[in-house]
Amino acid sequence: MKEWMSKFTIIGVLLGIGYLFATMLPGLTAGYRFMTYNYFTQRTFLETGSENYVTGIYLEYRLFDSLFEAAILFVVAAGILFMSRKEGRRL
Amino acid sequence: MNESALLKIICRMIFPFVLLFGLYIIFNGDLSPGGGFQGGVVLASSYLLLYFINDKNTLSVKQILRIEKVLFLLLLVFSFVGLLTHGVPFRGMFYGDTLFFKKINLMVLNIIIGVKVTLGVVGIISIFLEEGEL
Repeated sequence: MKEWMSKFTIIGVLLGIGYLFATMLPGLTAGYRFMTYNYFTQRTFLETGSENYVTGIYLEYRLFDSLFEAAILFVVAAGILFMSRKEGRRL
Repeated sequence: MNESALLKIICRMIFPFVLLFGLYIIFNGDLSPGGGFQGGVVLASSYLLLYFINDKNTLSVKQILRIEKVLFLLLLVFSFVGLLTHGVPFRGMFYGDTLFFKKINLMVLNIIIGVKVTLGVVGIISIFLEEGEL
Protein backbone atom coordinates (compact mmCIF):
# COMPACT_ATOMS: atom_id res chain seq x y z
CA MET A 1 0.00 0.00 0.00
CA LYS A 2 2.72 2.48 0.99
CA GLU A 3 4.95 1.65 -1.96
CA TRP A 4 2.04 2.16 -4.31
CA MET A 5 1.38 5.57 -2.76
CA SER A 6 4.99 6.73 -3.06
CA LYS A 7 5.22 5.59 -6.68
CA PHE A 8 2.00 7.45 -7.46
CA THR A 9 3.38 10.60 -5.79
CA ILE A 10 6.65 10.44 -7.76
CA ILE A 11 4.81 9.98 -11.05
CA GLY A 12 2.52 12.88 -10.17
CA VAL A 13 5.44 15.19 -9.38
CA LEU A 14 7.20 14.24 -12.63
CA LEU A 15 4.03 14.86 -14.62
CA GLY A 16 3.67 18.25 -12.94
CA ILE A 17 7.23 19.23 -13.84
CA GLY A 18 6.64 18.05 -17.41
CA TYR A 19 3.45 20.11 -17.63
CA LEU A 20 5.33 23.21 -16.37
CA PHE A 21 8.04 22.78 -19.01
CA ALA A 22 5.46 22.20 -21.72
CA THR A 23 3.68 25.42 -20.80
CA MET A 24 6.97 27.33 -20.79
CA LEU A 25 8.00 26.18 -24.28
CA PRO A 26 5.87 28.60 -26.37
CA GLY A 27 7.45 31.51 -24.48
CA LEU A 28 10.84 30.60 -25.94
CA THR A 29 10.85 32.70 -29.07
CA ALA A 30 13.71 32.67 -31.53
CA GLY A 31 15.24 35.81 -30.09
CA TYR A 32 15.59 34.33 -26.64
CA ARG A 33 16.80 31.02 -28.00
CA PHE A 34 19.83 32.50 -29.77
CA MET A 35 20.65 35.23 -27.27
CA THR A 36 23.37 33.30 -25.41
CA TYR A 37 24.70 31.84 -28.64
CA ASN A 38 25.09 35.26 -30.19
CA TYR A 39 26.66 36.69 -27.05
CA PHE A 40 29.35 34.04 -26.76
CA THR A 41 30.16 33.75 -30.46
CA GLN A 42 30.57 37.51 -30.75
CA ARG A 43 32.48 38.30 -27.59
CA THR A 44 34.38 35.21 -26.42
CA PHE A 45 37.43 35.72 -28.58
CA LEU A 46 37.75 39.41 -27.78
CA GLU A 47 37.19 39.05 -24.06
CA THR A 48 39.11 35.88 -23.28
CA GLY A 49 41.51 35.46 -26.19
CA SER A 50 40.34 31.92 -26.78
CA GLU A 51 39.40 30.70 -30.24
CA ASN A 52 37.71 27.67 -28.69
CA TYR A 53 34.52 28.96 -27.10
CA VAL A 54 34.22 26.06 -24.68
CA THR A 55 37.66 26.75 -23.22
CA GLY A 56 36.88 30.43 -23.08
CA ILE A 57 33.72 29.73 -21.11
CA TYR A 58 35.05 27.20 -18.62
CA LEU A 59 38.38 28.91 -17.95
CA GLU A 60 37.26 32.52 -18.03
CA TYR A 61 33.53 33.11 -17.51
CA ARG A 62 32.91 30.01 -15.39
CA LEU A 63 36.27 29.53 -13.69
CA PHE A 64 34.52 29.31 -10.33
CA ASP A 65 32.70 26.17 -11.50
CA SER A 66 35.85 24.67 -12.98
CA LEU A 67 37.57 24.95 -9.60
CA PHE A 68 34.96 22.73 -8.00
CA GLU A 69 34.98 20.46 -11.03
CA ALA A 70 38.68 19.92 -10.39
CA ALA A 71 38.05 19.53 -6.67
CA ILE A 72 35.47 16.79 -7.27
CA LEU A 73 38.03 14.64 -9.06
CA PHE A 74 40.47 15.01 -6.18
CA VAL A 75 37.76 14.08 -3.67
CA VAL A 76 36.83 11.05 -5.78
CA ALA A 77 40.44 9.82 -5.84
CA ALA A 78 40.82 10.38 -2.10
CA GLY A 79 37.52 8.61 -1.41
CA ILE A 80 38.46 5.58 -3.49
CA LEU A 81 41.81 5.43 -1.70
CA PHE A 82 40.02 5.62 1.65
CA MET A 83 37.56 2.87 0.78
CA SER A 84 40.15 0.54 -0.75
CA ARG A 85 42.44 0.62 2.27
CA LYS A 86 42.62 -2.73 3.99
CA GLU A 87 43.41 -3.26 7.63
CA GLY A 88 46.50 -5.42 7.43
CA ARG A 89 48.04 -3.50 4.59
CA ARG A 90 49.37 0.02 4.25
CA LEU A 91 49.24 1.81 0.94
CA MET B 1 47.83 -10.75 -15.51
CA ASN B 2 47.91 -12.92 -18.60
CA GLU B 3 50.87 -12.43 -20.89
CA SER B 4 49.98 -11.59 -24.47
CA ALA B 5 52.69 -10.75 -26.98
CA LEU B 6 50.24 -9.19 -29.41
CA LEU B 7 48.81 -6.81 -26.81
CA LYS B 8 52.29 -5.80 -25.64
CA ILE B 9 53.57 -5.05 -29.14
CA ILE B 10 50.47 -3.10 -30.13
CA CYS B 11 50.64 -1.11 -26.89
CA ARG B 12 54.31 -0.33 -27.49
CA MET B 13 53.45 0.94 -30.96
CA ILE B 14 50.50 3.05 -29.80
CA PHE B 15 51.94 4.46 -26.55
CA PRO B 16 54.03 7.41 -27.88
CA PHE B 17 51.22 8.56 -30.14
CA VAL B 18 48.69 8.53 -27.31
CA LEU B 19 51.13 10.48 -25.13
CA LEU B 20 51.74 13.02 -27.90
CA PHE B 21 48.01 13.34 -28.60
CA GLY B 22 47.27 14.03 -24.94
CA LEU B 23 49.95 16.71 -24.77
CA TYR B 24 48.63 18.22 -28.01
CA ILE B 25 45.11 18.41 -26.63
CA ILE B 26 46.33 20.11 -23.45
CA PHE B 27 48.62 22.64 -25.13
CA ASN B 28 46.11 23.49 -27.89
CA GLY B 29 43.24 23.85 -25.45
CA ASP B 30 42.52 27.44 -26.47
CA LEU B 31 42.84 26.88 -30.22
CA SER B 32 41.00 23.66 -30.97
CA PRO B 33 38.47 21.41 -29.24
CA GLY B 34 39.91 19.95 -26.09
CA GLY B 35 41.42 21.32 -22.94
CA GLY B 36 42.80 20.29 -19.61
CA PHE B 37 40.19 17.75 -18.60
CA GLN B 38 40.08 15.83 -21.88
CA GLY B 39 43.84 15.87 -22.43
CA GLY B 40 44.44 14.74 -18.87
CA VAL B 41 42.23 11.70 -19.35
CA VAL B 42 44.02 10.83 -22.60
CA LEU B 43 47.38 11.05 -20.78
CA ALA B 44 46.03 8.80 -18.04
CA SER B 45 44.97 6.24 -20.63
CA SER B 46 48.56 6.31 -21.92
CA TYR B 47 49.62 5.33 -18.39
CA LEU B 48 47.20 2.39 -18.64
CA LEU B 49 48.96 1.34 -21.87
CA LEU B 50 52.25 1.54 -19.95
CA TYR B 51 50.81 -0.89 -17.43
CA PHE B 52 49.93 -3.30 -20.25
CA ILE B 53 53.54 -3.19 -21.46
CA ASN B 54 55.17 -3.74 -18.08
CA ASP B 55 52.96 -4.63 -15.15
CA LYS B 56 55.35 -3.60 -12.39
CA ASN B 57 53.42 -0.86 -10.66
CA THR B 58 55.99 1.57 -9.29
CA LEU B 59 53.83 4.59 -8.55
CA SER B 60 52.92 5.37 -4.96
CA VAL B 61 49.31 6.49 -4.64
CA LYS B 62 49.99 8.62 -1.59
CA GLN B 63 52.65 10.64 -3.43
CA ILE B 64 50.28 11.12 -6.37
CA LEU B 65 47.52 12.43 -4.14
CA ARG B 66 49.97 14.73 -2.35
CA ILE B 67 51.12 16.26 -5.65
CA GLU B 68 47.50 16.62 -6.73
CA LYS B 69 46.71 18.45 -3.51
CA VAL B 70 49.54 20.92 -4.15
CA LEU B 71 48.36 21.40 -7.72
CA PHE B 72 44.83 22.15 -6.58
CA LEU B 73 46.16 24.78 -4.17
CA LEU B 74 48.19 26.21 -7.06
CA LEU B 75 45.02 26.39 -9.15
CA LEU B 76 43.23 28.23 -6.35
CA VAL B 77 46.10 30.68 -5.97
CA PHE B 78 46.31 31.26 -9.70
CA SER B 79 42.60 31.98 -10.02
CA PHE B 80 42.54 34.29 -6.99
CA VAL B 81 45.69 36.22 -7.91
CA GLY B 82 43.59 38.57 -10.03
CA LEU B 83 42.21 39.91 -6.78
CA LEU B 84 45.62 41.39 -6.01
CA THR B 85 46.55 42.71 -9.46
CA HIS B 86 43.29 44.27 -10.64
CA GLY B 87 40.70 43.53 -7.95
CA VAL B 88 38.57 41.02 -9.87
CA PRO B 89 38.99 37.32 -9.03
CA PHE B 90 38.54 34.49 -11.56
CA ARG B 91 39.32 36.67 -14.57
CA GLY B 92 43.01 35.95 -14.92
CA MET B 93 46.11 37.80 -13.89
CA PHE B 94 46.12 40.38 -16.66
CA TYR B 95 42.47 41.28 -17.06
CA GLY B 96 41.90 43.83 -19.78
CA ASP B 97 45.41 43.40 -21.10
CA THR B 98 46.53 42.32 -24.55
CA LEU B 99 45.51 39.07 -26.20
CA PHE B 100 48.93 37.53 -25.65
CA PHE B 101 48.72 37.63 -21.85
CA LYS B 102 45.19 36.29 -21.94
CA LYS B 103 46.36 33.35 -24.03
CA ILE B 104 49.19 32.70 -21.57
CA ASN B 105 46.69 32.77 -18.72
CA LEU B 106 44.47 30.21 -20.48
CA MET B 107 47.47 28.01 -21.27
CA VAL B 108 48.75 27.97 -17.69
CA LEU B 109 45.29 27.12 -16.37
CA ASN B 110 44.94 24.36 -18.97
CA ILE B 111 48.31 22.87 -18.08
CA ILE B 112 47.63 22.93 -14.33
CA ILE B 113 44.19 21.33 -14.79
CA GLY B 114 45.61 18.80 -17.25
CA VAL B 115 48.37 17.63 -14.90
CA LYS B 116 45.90 17.53 -12.02
CA VAL B 117 43.36 15.42 -13.93
CA THR B 118 46.14 13.13 -15.17
CA LEU B 119 47.37 12.51 -11.63
CA GLY B 120 43.83 11.99 -10.36
CA VAL B 121 42.89 9.40 -12.95
CA VAL B 122 46.30 7.71 -12.70
CA GLY B 123 45.76 7.52 -8.95
CA ILE B 124 42.34 5.90 -9.41
CA ILE B 125 43.76 3.44 -11.96
CA SER B 126 46.67 2.45 -9.73
CA ILE B 127 44.40 2.03 -6.70
CA PHE B 128 42.28 -0.40 -8.71
CA LEU B 129 45.36 -2.21 -10.02
CA GLU B 130 46.72 -2.66 -6.50
CA GLU B 131 43.35 -4.02 -5.43
CA GLY B 132 43.35 -6.52 -8.29
CA GLU B 133 46.75 -7.91 -7.37
CA LEU B 134 45.54 -9.42 -4.12
